[in-house]
Amino acid sequence: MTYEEFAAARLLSLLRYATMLTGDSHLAGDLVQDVMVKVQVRWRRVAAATVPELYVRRMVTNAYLDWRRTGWWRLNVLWARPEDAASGHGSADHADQSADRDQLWTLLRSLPHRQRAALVLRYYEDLSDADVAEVLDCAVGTVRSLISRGLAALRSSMVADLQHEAMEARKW
Amino acid sequence: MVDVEGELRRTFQRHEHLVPDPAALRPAIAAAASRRRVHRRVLGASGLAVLVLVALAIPTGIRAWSGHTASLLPLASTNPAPLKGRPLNYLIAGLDDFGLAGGSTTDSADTVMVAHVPADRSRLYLITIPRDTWVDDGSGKQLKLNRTYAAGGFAELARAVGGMTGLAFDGAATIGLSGLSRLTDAIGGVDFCVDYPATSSHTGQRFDAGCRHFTGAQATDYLRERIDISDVPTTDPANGFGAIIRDRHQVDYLRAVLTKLTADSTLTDATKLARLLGMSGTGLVVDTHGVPPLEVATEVRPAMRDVVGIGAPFGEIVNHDGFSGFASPPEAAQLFAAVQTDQGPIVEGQQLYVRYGCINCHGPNGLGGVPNPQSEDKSIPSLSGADFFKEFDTDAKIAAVIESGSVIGHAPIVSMPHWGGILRPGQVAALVAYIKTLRSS
Repeated sequence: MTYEEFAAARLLSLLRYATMLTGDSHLAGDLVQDVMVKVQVRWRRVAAATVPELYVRRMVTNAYLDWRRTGWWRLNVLWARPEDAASGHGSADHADQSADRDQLWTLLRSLPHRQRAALVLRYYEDLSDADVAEVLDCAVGTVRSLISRGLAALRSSMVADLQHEAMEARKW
Repeated sequence: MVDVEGELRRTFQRHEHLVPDPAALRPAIAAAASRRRVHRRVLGASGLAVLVLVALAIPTGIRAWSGHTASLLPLASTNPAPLKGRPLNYLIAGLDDFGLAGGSTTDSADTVMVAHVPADRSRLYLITIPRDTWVDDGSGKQLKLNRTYAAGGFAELARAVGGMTGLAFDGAATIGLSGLSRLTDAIGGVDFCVDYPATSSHTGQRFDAGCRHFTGAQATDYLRERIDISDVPTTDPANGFGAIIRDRHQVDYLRAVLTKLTADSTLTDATKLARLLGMSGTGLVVDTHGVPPLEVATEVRPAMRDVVGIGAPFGEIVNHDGFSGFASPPEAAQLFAAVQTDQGPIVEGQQLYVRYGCINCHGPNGLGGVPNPQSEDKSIPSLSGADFFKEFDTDAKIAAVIESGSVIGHAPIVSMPHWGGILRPGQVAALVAYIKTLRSS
């Protein structure tokens, strides 16, 4: 398989995965672009892997998990975002719909990256615990705990958000 | 108990529309990879060459990572025709990305506006749509306009606004409130006027009415604020709706930013423009639908002499699921249609007529009749009758009387303010355009 064949066949799937990880199309594009540049430059090594796609998927995952540790210019893009900027600002002006069906999408952002990655691999990519463990390079038990902690955090945030929004909704 | 697992699966699937187009990414990867190969090869070479290359590579890296031009609009909502010589429409959303107090975030498009430039490029209209307007999400469910973004991303917002206005867009932009401060400081702060006194509920900072300089932090603080009912005169139709008054403040801010960018030649200098658009952490994302930003700036720049704010009308208050919002009235579509057909000055004039209180004396539709017992006519004359148009038979005469105001008869008397000192010339012209439409009524 050549790099071109690989890109033609797998790029969309990698972009889907990265979009669910980052929650943002631009960041997903950036993430995949960065990884694919590396893949292209060292294609021989990637092609030698038993399952090249799994190998690249791990590269994407690691790049996502490592993002916090890399250069300051990336920090600006990925991390100079709401949570940091808002600290100390108290309550925000928030909109007003308790039945917000995509509350979960935004709540996902507040999760630690490893928990989010585990949830994406399980509930979007539909991988088994063993495969998730393979991609995250950890034990199966760790995967189970990442998933259950992630779900628990989402569940409690959903309840808290509903209460908060009900209060905020009286203001316009 | 909430079915989080099922909901999570559905949430992921619903956001597949955010996945970028692989075909668009491949050239970028190829270009970056060939750059990387060159670096790798030379890294083995002499120390000096390495230093030079690292120095070159750092800015390239920054630009590649923080270039916030992206595809926001779904293809169905775009207008692919060349920009020259036709009216242009851009969809702009201000996102509240500060997040909820609990640390989670729910981006909410709390400012939604359409920037319209008529074919003659004479003015730039910023038409704000109240965020609390109910829109149909396509499946019959009612969603507030500001929630469409969280529900389906920018595509969903564009679909909703497109449905309400009947417009196709030439491009779009989003600005995150949290990055506004940085953007403002990058251009050295801005100067604009506070219409009603306000106290920030976030920092306690007091903003007195009047014109002043805003640093980035001050601008963000002020622009987040919905103004208390008690500070807004009851004659203002937006009294009680802080979010609508806030929309006006965002327009005041944008006018100041655009004026500044015009003055410091950012809009004519490709390098300066690219630097501003590519600045990281501003939360600014621009989609020019493939047209180079400088080309858009060149087309739109003449219009920036006169940046006009118009508020789209809001309908009755309607409740859904226990939340209050505005019905989307048919007048909204009419207003957009009028602006598209070069009747923008009339629309602006009509709004100024109400907002600046002309209506209080001259009556709805200029019918007049308000008592003024000490004047010769005993009441305020009509602006719509034949007598009026016989006396004021040119635009210049109407403009002159608006600008000078009038005191007729003896005190106590209702007199007309000297509007020339209050309104911009473009606003006087808009009032003239509106008054001339009263003739038939």
